[in-house]
Amino acid sequence: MNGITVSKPLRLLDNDEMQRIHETSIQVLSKVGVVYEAEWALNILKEAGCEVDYKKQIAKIPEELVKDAINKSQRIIKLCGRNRKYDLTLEGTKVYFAGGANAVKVIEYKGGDNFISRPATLDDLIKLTIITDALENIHCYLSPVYPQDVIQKGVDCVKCEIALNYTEKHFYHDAEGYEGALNQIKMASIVVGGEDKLRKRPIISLAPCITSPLVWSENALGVIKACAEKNVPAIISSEPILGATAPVTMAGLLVQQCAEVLSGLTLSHLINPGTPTLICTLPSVMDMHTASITLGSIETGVMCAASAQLFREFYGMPYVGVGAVSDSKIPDQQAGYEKALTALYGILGGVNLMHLASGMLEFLLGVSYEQLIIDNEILGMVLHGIKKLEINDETLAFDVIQKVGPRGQFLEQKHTIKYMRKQLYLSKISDKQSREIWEKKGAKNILTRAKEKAEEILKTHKIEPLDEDIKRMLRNIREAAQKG
Amino acid sequence: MEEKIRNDLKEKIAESLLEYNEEVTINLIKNALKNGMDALEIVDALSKGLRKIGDMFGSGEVFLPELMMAASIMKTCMDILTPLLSESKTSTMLGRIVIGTVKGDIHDIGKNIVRSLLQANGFEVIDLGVDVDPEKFIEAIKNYKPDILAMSALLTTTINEMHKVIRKVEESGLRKNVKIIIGGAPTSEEYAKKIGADAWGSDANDAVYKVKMLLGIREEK
Repeated sequence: MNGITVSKPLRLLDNDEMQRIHETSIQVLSKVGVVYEAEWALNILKEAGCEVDYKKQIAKIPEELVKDAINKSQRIIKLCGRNRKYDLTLEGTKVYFAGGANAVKVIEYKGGDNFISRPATLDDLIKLTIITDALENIHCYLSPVYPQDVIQKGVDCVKCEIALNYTEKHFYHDAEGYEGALNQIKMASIVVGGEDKLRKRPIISLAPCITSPLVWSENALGVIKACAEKNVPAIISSEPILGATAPVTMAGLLVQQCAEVLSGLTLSHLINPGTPTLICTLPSVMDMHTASITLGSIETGVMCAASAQLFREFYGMPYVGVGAVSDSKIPDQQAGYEKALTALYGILGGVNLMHLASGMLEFLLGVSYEQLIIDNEILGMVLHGIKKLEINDETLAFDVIQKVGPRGQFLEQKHTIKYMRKQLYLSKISDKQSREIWEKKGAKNILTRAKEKAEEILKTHKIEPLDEDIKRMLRNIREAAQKG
Repeated sequence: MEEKIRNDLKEKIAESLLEYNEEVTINLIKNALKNGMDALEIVDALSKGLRKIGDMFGSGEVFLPELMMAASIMKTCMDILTPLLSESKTSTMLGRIVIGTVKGDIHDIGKNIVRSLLQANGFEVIDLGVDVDPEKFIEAIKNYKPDILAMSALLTTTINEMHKVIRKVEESGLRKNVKIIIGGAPTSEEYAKKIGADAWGSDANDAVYKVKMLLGIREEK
């Protein structure tokens, strides 16, 4: 899939400001240090020259080691789909969208102003996966649901099995430690025909996430290890909360998240120099009145745009950020403006892969079928809006202006027919008709139209099925993981 | 011409409208005429093509500029073909409509959209253009004997012209010969009733629907 390149990305930081953020995060790494809750990790770091306190599980990382890891990181990361048409190349200011993840409840629309919130199920996971596969503005898949009606042990393998069966797009997953990661990597390699092939065409990437501030859990370290050993892209993540698990200043948060992801990156490249790695951060905000963690805040957009600039310009790495997110409990106006603003802000900053960008509500707890469809429209408008303006003789259009002349109109010109589909965003579910026609067609609100669209996709969308043998092998691994 | 070759050529003519290239379609019909195809058959083929574009417009695949371009190509073709048709043979159209934007108003986009959609639905449309004098409407009704008179206005300052035209049609004793439909941003169902029009089109699609209702034509399914 072709990402769209942001031609003039926002620059929120000057060069010397980026330098200062970097230098301060190096100070954090070398003077404060980072907790690694696994002895094997501390051993590797000590061997490489870190000052390690085994009792406190803290490693203090010298600047040279971090620089070394930055130098070994790939500048261009390819994420492949089961179907080649969904391959993504993360580089420069090329941008893509990835779906929402791990909602525990479904916000169901019941018509009028009525909604119910209920536990998300395996059936929802399958349906939302199929819909996500069909939506043209979501380029990469995350499991939208954390199903509440299955045994919680081995649920990462359940989600992996669903992803492999019901989407042809690249999928980006969390994993339950080293074993969970290896299981998922094995499942993905069965589908592509072996680990060698998976190395060439990684259809899966895994996201080890640090616990802010500055703690790598044993589980997350296991995922880093599995990815590095198998050359599977590791999306090294940090999810700091402004004012709670990170300083309240946005600059302070940028420093801490930088230190956090670089500490994971350093370990990855010590295990396997040059292993594919991506940086991901999810900066959220603590509401100082209610103590709620919020994502739909404008600061999320600002910090993602600043992070994208920092990782692109200063470190030369693709950056995975967050956007099109909301704290609203239902798909309402708040959801609309928070999603539109956070998506547009981050993308203008050049976030290469904006994840959690569809269907999610209520921070990241809920998912809505209708919101998923609406978000696809928001993302489509954002992607269209960032395209470079095409300036050439034909688009400057002197000839047609001359031909039409004063008092004429342009609707019936060949020039209009030639360019309208390229130049205009053709909306899918937004209402653009006259009031009379809208009323004649039932005066449907956006939620009703989105609900109908979701139902239509579920009826008509087809996904290339896997071979029965492969399906059986995946099922066996998943069942073993659930019992294990 | 052999049956099969003739059918293929008709198909080609119909499909050519989808290229939105006047030259291509005109060359095809000239070629068809040279090979002895009846003008009426060509008109049929073009109408079929235009109707298909009208359907695609309805389902959202085709956009307004394309529909209008196709209708305009159809009109150019008709200028070539009409002189070749004998009088009795022109009656394959669903009905004849005289359309125009009223005096004082030079807006023709809405009117042209309605014209294109009517043509795409198989009506013969005589377009009087913009800034049309009431007398010109009367003359056109006398000359063309249309089934429908359609008037458009965009400016609130010009909609009273519609009332004037209707009064003139009544005074000339032509009112019983023709149904009248109006449309345009400042108009409404109430206004249409008030000035004695037979119908009001809320937009182009609705105008076609109302015209069909007025003429008792059932929607094909």
